[in-house]
Amino acid sequence: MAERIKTHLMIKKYLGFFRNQFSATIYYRGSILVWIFSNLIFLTVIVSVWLASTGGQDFGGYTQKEIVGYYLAGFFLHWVINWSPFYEVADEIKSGDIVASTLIKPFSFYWKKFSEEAGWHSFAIILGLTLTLVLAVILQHWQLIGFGFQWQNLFLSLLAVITGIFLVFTFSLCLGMLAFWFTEVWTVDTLFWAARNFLGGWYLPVSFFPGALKTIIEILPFRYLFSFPLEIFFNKISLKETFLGAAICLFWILFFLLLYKLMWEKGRKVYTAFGQ
Amino acid sequence: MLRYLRLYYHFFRNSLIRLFEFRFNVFILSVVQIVWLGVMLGSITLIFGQVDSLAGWRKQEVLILAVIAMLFHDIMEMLFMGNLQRFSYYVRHGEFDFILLKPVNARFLASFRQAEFYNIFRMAAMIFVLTKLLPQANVQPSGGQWALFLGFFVAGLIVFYNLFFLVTTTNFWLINVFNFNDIFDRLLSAGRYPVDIFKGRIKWFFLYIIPLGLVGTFSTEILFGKLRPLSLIFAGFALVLTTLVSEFFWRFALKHYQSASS
Repeated sequence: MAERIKTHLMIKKYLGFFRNQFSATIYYRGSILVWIFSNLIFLTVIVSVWLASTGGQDFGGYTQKEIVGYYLAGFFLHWVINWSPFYEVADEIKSGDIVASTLIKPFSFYWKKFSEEAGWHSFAIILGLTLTLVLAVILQHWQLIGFGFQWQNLFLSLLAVITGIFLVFTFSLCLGMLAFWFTEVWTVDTLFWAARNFLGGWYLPVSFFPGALKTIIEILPFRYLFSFPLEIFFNKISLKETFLGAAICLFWILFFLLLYKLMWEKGRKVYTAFGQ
Repeated sequence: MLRYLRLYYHFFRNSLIRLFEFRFNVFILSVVQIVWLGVMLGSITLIFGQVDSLAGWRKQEVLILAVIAMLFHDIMEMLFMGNLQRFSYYVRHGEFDFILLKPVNARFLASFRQAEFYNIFRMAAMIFVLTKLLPQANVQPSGGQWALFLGFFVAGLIVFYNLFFLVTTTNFWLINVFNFNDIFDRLLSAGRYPVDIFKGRIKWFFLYIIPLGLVGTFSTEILFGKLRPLSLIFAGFALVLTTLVSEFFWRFALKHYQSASS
């Protein structure tokens, strides 16, 4: 009974973080609109690039209509999957706020940050989904997108999105916690996004990469941060490859979870904060 | 004028000194920036592994355009974008009053206070890459072409500075918006592709409203010995119009500025 009450109270706390962040996101809705607009620019440019290309019928295994659909789906996925607490974590550690906000409080830093990201992304997903559906209708009307839809693929890609969220979040959290040891860590995040965008399918589908490099990409975690759910949704990989990919993704999640635990234990021991 | 040039020299020098206080940081930043350059060139190479041309532009031409556009982006970041980001911060935190109190033109201080040099090694790398790409594309611009190229390049820098400053000035009213630089980055990144990839109204928007052609397309075409009709006139017109509009809007905004209490 006491355990159940304790669990209930803990969930209430995390819901509180979720609600706070959700409210803060609505307060800063202007910045969300700016972010939407900047992503729309990217989408417009990349779709225009492929529509203006000549000399090819098959683009890394995608038709022209499929690849437009890929970037539209990627536009929405960008809102859903990028649970990245890197800057908040690094800032909190660097400024010393983590002492008052977490270290002396009786809850998990991991789940606190997760709840806050959930609050932000809930609002972003609502906006992103609305906008994506509108764009899909427009592009469909202009006959610029077309792909074979299967419910099985949608279900499996949703599962891949959920595992991708955990992977991005845990990976990013570990990178942010480097602030326990280094004063400036933002370059690490820049490298992370360069790798995610190039090797993870944001700029180009991973099928564009030649043989051996493609195999390396399938082993590294970046593919599972973005490209993997899209490859399933667009039916570009077999069921066997899907399960293999899921196993690799789960491996990386476990890896970064263990790394998080190690960094949290070691980081707290070496940490010094000023002015707290 | 001389006073402002002297002031700018000191700002420039202080920024350079500040950069090299953390030499290891500079090294890491340079590596990261060069990685991004590799990512960009790699992406274009992979695209051309699947297609023959983009809106009539061949691979070598697009690579040269992309490098010039990235150089443009880096110079914008070096001279202006960090200052615009800080301008936004000052307004939100009520620190803009300290800028207004200085015996210097507030726009000058808000726009040029600091220079960001973390891209200098990448800029050097890009100039080196350009010297290799131009001969590969059988391009040997004359002195006149280089002069015209520089003219378009500098005009583009001023036009985009004016546009971005105009947008950032809206922070006097839109206090909760802190990420205009996201849009600026995306627009400048869009300039790495030829404007001819756009069609219809989108092309009209990116040619005349947000003149993406000035980021890299027009100046690259000059190196290839092509010059669009009326592009010279358009560049001059954009230069004058954006300067006047941004200055007018800035003075209007200053009259309506309400401090957040400093």
